[in-house]
Amino acid sequence: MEKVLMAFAAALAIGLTALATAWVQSKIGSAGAGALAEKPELTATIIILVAIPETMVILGFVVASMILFGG
Amino acid sequence: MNLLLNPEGSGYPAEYLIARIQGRRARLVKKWDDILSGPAPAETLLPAYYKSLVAEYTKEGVWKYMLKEFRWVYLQMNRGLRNIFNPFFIYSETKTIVLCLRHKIEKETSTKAEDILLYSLLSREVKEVLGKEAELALLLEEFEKKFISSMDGTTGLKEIFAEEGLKGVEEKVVNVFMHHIISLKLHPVSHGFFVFLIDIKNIMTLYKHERWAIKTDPVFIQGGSISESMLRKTIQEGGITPIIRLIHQRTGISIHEPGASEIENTLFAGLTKYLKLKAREGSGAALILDYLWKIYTEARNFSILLYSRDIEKVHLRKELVIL
Repeated sequence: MEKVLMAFAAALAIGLTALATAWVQSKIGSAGAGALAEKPELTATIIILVAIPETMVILGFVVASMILFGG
Repeated sequence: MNLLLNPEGSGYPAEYLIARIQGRRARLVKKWDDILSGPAPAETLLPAYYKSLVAEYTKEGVWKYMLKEFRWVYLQMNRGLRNIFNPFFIYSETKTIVLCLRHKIEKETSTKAEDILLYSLLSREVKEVLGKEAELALLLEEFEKKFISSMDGTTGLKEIFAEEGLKGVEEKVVNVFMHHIISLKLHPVSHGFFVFLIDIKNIMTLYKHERWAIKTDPVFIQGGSISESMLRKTIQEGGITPIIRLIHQRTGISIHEPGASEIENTLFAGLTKYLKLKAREGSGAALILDYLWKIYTEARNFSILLYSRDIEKVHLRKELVIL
């Protein structure tokens, strides 16, 4: 039972962060594409802005790994 | 029947359009006073960006530049945004309709009307009616039957044209559209805009009534923030002072020289200020509306500058919408 709960917690940790990242990236991606269409010189800034939310899912992955293999 | 065209695509996400608009806002003229202080304001206004858009330096050319930009914004919008902004675009297209009718009455070739309709957002059905080579009275009858009778069954454009000419038709079409728009369930930003616009039209009616001592009862548009009883009370008070007070209450701007253009421009500046504040509050819809309104005021100022090269700058400034 404990293993099931741990697997569920790990799934939540990575699943929720992945969903949040996807949602935020869709918004930042759309806005970034709009900004790039008007000002192509912003390419580097937009790539960084799109990449920032990735940290969320990476942290989610770390937390999920700690839940599953940490103890 | 649809007044506006219905694009096939689903458009782009709101965030994309807002980002593009924020980029495009940088191109708008911000300091009209700087332009006016130059040796030739009209020439100063023709940098490369405008030159490519305003193909011919005529009022129609400026109007086309505005329609082109409006069309671009409309086609980028997704369905949700199009629903919010349909009333605004219907309102902006009333001028296109009037311009087309004016070309017909001036017996010019229909090429010019077709030229204006090229960038217009009017639907194919409306364009077909306006593009017909028919007598204006018959054309008005058909236009009314197809597009206006569903909004207000008692317009009688043909009769108004016979009695008052195109000016009467123009006023009637704008009033019918305004009545129709304000009766719709509008987005709060759009609602605020139209309420302000109705107030502007009502105050201008009030001013003209007072200025030219018109004997007939003025017709006010319902739906503004200033009640009809308040407007009628202002008429009873008489003189220009209560009107100036009313303008100050609505816009927060004081007028020193109450001429027709100063009053209209002050009211427009008040609306510009209102939209600017709404856009700063962070709503995407408000930002888009603010941009569309700025394009409109810029085109208006632009055409005034192009047509008044010989007018003294002090007088010219009064004709422009400057905040």
